[in-house]
Amino acid sequence: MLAKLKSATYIGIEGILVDVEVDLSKGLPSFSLVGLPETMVKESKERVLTSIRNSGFSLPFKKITVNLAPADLRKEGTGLDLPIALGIICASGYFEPDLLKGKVFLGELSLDGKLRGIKGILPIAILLKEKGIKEVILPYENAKEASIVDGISVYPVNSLIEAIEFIKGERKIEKFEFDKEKLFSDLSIYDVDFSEVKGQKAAKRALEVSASGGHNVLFIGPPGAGKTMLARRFPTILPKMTIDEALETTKIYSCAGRLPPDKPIITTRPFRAPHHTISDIGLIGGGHIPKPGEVSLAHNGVLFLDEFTEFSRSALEVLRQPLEDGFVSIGRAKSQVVFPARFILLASMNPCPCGYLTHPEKECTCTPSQIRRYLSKISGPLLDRIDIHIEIPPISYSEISSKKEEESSEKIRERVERARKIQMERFKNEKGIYFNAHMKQKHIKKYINISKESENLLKDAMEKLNLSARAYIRILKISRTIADLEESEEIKPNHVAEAIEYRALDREHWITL
Amino acid sequence: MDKKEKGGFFELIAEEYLKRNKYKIIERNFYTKKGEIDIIAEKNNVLIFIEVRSKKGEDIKGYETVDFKKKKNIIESAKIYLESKNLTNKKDVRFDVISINFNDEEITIEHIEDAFREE
Repeated sequence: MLAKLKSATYIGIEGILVDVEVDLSKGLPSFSLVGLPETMVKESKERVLTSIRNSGFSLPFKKITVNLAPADLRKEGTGLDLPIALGIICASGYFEPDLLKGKVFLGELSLDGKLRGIKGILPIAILLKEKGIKEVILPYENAKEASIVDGISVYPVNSLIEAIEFIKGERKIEKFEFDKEKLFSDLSIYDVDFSEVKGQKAAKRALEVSASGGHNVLFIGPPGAGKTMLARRFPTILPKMTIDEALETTKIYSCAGRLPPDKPIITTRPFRAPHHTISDIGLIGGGHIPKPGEVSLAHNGVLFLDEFTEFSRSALEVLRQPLEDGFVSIGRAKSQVVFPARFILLASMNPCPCGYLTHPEKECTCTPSQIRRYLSKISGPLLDRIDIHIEIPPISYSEISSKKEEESSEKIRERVERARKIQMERFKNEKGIYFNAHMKQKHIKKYINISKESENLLKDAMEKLNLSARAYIRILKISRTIADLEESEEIKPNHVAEAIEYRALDREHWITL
Repeated sequence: MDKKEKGGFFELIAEEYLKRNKYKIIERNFYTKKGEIDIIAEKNNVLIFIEVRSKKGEDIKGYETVDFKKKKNIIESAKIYLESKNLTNKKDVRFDVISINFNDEEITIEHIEDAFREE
């Protein structure tokens, strides 16, 4: 006897439909699972057979063959337990195979027949909507996440028995509904705020420019200046996540199994701050079955690399692809996947190994060669992708103790959102370009409208400060963003002057040490 | 009582027990080159291969002594039996263990249905 039903799993962050076919035939009782199952799926055999017995059904004394189609795709994840169990029970004659039609079944079984939540629900739900499948039966834990997607009816069940009773029409289960509006209404609620940071006006302004134009930032300053504190508050001034962005980021978290249990969707921009001992695989993603790395977990948010120079060279160099393309493609013998990774890089470092090179009072104890070695950890091509480098001076007592009210994140965010809107309008016909920071050579010619006066200033600065051609382009892009913040079509001298300030590492005294 | 006689004695007890539970006994001690099947019985249209195991005392249950190698031998022997009777893939099949523990006063019988399957 044969039972056929539909289920789904995911590869990378994309869902795939899986046809589960269960055949029972006469012969020595055995269980075989075919269709490229990975270890997790192979182990489902023990869970399935035991939970069928413990749910009060007798196992058929037959040869059980389970096929997972398409047979050429590797299946991973534990979500196929429920459909396999239902297939065996159905093929044993407990209910009609027709009752399984038009539905998709997902869920991991525990030995007592209860259902457990699985990973990757959101991409699967999006896939079901695309394929026009209307009904999905899955564990309670996953109901919220699945019902984020409109147009599919989600029926949550607690156990194998409940699922069977529901299929046979003996149990009524209400379609799962919850207030999606409320979920999206608290997009961008953070527990930190920029008003908590005293002083550091220049750094705050640099972050505002970075948030507006998508420019990557490098902070250079002595220990204790507030680099980390500023960085943590950076997501709060980024524009609110759009629903599409929230879904994109949630897809990654869903497949990585990182969604918080009480929250089915990521509504605030992620802030990832991996420790500097991270491996390049941990940063970029990978593994035998590729998993998203920190760069992908920071998608649509911020990747903060504290102690930038302490990261291993190879870990830093792998950042180049995502910084350039906004995605990482990971190839392994068994699969090739693409993870989105569009983030703003925020890095911080000390100016020298001891940290006090730029400190106004403290004495630096490093030798010039130590400093050179320290700075050379960051390669040219990587530095090339960081538009803004700014020095963070230590904060003075009068600034810390000041009672002055600092500007709140929300106010800054309003300006940032306005500047982003201008850019969206500008780049609406350019594929893959979202912010000023993404502009290529041809766009610079097209979109950067610089006044004669600014041109002269820039020329002067280039000669006096000995700036490179690379710095020239960066300065133009940053000035474009600053002009956007002021809603000015033309780039004025004060915009260029500010932009030059953001090229600390290009200035002479760093390099000649 | 030597080992063989003892085995035969407990197999008789097992057979008696099966008959009382409405099993139809088909074969006793079916020998193949892979090993021996103690009892072959039938109930509800399912063909059942039964291994009888006995152990003195209560410390070790009879069924604990059925190891991987024994299971494999029983399964291989069952295949030979099915082939010889032209029943391969025509009948539902089950493997049971009847486990007998005894001491001087009493005998306890435990019947484990569907005790193992082909891996």
